[in-house]
Amino acid sequence: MNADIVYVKDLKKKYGNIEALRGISFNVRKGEIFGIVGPNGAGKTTTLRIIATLVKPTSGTVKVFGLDVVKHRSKVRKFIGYLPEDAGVYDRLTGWENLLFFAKLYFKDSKEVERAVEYGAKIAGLGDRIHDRTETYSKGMKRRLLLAKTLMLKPKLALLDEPTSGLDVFAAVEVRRLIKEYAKELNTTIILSSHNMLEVEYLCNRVALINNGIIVDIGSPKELKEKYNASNLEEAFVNAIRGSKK
Amino acid sequence: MSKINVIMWKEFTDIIRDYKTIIATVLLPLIVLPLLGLTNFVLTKQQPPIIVVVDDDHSKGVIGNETISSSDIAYMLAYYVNATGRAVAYQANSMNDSFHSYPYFDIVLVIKKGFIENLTSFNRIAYLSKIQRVGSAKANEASLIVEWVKNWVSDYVASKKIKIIAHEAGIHVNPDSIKKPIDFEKVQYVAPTGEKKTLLDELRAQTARLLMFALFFIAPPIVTFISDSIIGERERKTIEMLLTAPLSKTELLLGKVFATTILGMLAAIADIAGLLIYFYLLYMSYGLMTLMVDPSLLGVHALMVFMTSLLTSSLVLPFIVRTKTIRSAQIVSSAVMSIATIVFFMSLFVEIPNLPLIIRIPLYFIPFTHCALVIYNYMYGYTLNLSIHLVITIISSLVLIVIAHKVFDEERILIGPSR
Repeated sequence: MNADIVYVKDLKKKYGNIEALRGISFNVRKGEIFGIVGPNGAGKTTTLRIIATLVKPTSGTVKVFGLDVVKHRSKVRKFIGYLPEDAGVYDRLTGWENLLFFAKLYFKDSKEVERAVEYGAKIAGLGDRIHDRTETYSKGMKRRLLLAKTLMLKPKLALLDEPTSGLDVFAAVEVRRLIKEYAKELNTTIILSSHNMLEVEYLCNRVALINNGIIVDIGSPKELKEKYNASNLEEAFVNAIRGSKK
Repeated sequence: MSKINVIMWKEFTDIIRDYKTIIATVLLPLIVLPLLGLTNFVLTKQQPPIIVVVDDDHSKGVIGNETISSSDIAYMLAYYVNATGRAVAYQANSMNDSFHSYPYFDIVLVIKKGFIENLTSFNRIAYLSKIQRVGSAKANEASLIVEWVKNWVSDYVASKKIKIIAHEAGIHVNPDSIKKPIDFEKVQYVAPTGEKKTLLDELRAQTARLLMFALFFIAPPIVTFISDSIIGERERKTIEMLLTAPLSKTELLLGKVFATTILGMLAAIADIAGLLIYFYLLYMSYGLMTLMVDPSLLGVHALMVFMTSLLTSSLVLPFIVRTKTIRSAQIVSSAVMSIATIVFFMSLFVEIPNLPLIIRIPLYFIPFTHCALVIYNYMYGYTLNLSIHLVITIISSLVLIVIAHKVFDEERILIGPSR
């Protein structure tokens, strides 16, 4: 347990009468890209929000770097970088100013701020457009900027909720490449959620298959494909769900 | 403090680049109100009221040893009207002539047949006939000028008659003691404490009263900015990243409140500057001095603009952080604006400290009342009361911010009360 970056045990979350999570458990190891895969409404975003300290669990335990996310919210926040699924940017600020704003919230030292923003601008890869107001950006450019904002902070744990959501094929490929390169370069632990099985298969070391608030199975894409006798992760997921219903 | 500054920087940059909002809240009042006054000033000068004096009497009479004719009276009336500089008078020979030559008249004054005979008698009244055009915006002002001029001429003739009677009676008479046996001495201005004050103090008090009302202008931009600042973050989907940043709720709320307060102050100062220019131009148009602005009054007012801004945003904040949509935020904002309007409009006409206790006590529970009372007490130089109301305003703001902090629930902001 001590080697785990993220430890989740019997996590439950209820919104009124709706059970979003019904007792899920998993752990994420240092340096791995861990995928949470499932259809819409499966509980992926709720899981990430709880790890990100935004939402309180109804019951269960969630620890990040050994710190309880409810008791030590402020400390946990210093370790994490979070990219929400449908996040927006400040439209009247330039791309550079968007990065600067968040860098100033995370770092006190002006040199650290400057370094982070320059690194973010490099990750975003927007060239001179980084100095344009983001209201002029395409959806893909905004998503790249948001990803850059998350990664420029060099978090020990990056939480990426549907990082390629709503992007066209080219933009999605570019974002995936960025995530893979970043994880390799900095050996950062990443948890990403997606309902795109191809994306998860390409990026993740291990995957949790989640449906209706329950984790159906966990394993590497290769293990899951073998276990469910499937040619790809999508098929493995379908077989796993069918199996869990029997 | 540094993270509060970062939030403020972002809020400033964001709003200053929102040209439409800036124009609507800051520039528009600064342009529209003076423009309103300027229009009044220019058009008043361009279109003075037109008064036509018609002599239908064409006769002469004698008062004492002085011969007076109806044409003299017509000349005097026209002369005095022109002498005011605020209306133009013409003389005409007949009613038909006046309607034909001056179709845009505002008032026609007719010296009727028999006027001089009545004027020179000692037991009859000489009547002028006043014909006023309907639908004329200037007719009321023309009527006022005619009234003054009629009084001047009437006064002149009355003095002559009194002197004749006194001469006949062989007594020395001051005509004023007969015409106005009772009059006011020079007005003495005093404070409620009995301390002597001057006309300037009275003008300053009137200005302070106007500035108390002007605090009303603060509420609308503040509630708009603060609602957008919190609810807008959610609607633009930027709140989630902000909430995961290493930033305390206090830093986030204070950053937004201070930024809103300063922006609201700018808007309010523009409003107040516009209002003062408007009144100055009114003074230029009508010559009625009703304002007296001094640096200390402006200083107190600037302080109260800041405090009212802070109070308004603090008052809205606990509701806004619990509100899910812009629409419900607007309902809360409208309620706060209505309360501010009632209090500040009331302070223009009502002396709150002199109201019966049963009305005053509920008013004291409305924090805006204390903002108005700070200026009221400054007006009369009640330093202790001023300080008490200022402290109440500060404490109210702080308590409301603490309440907002307590009820601020990140999960509720993200997801809503239930799903």
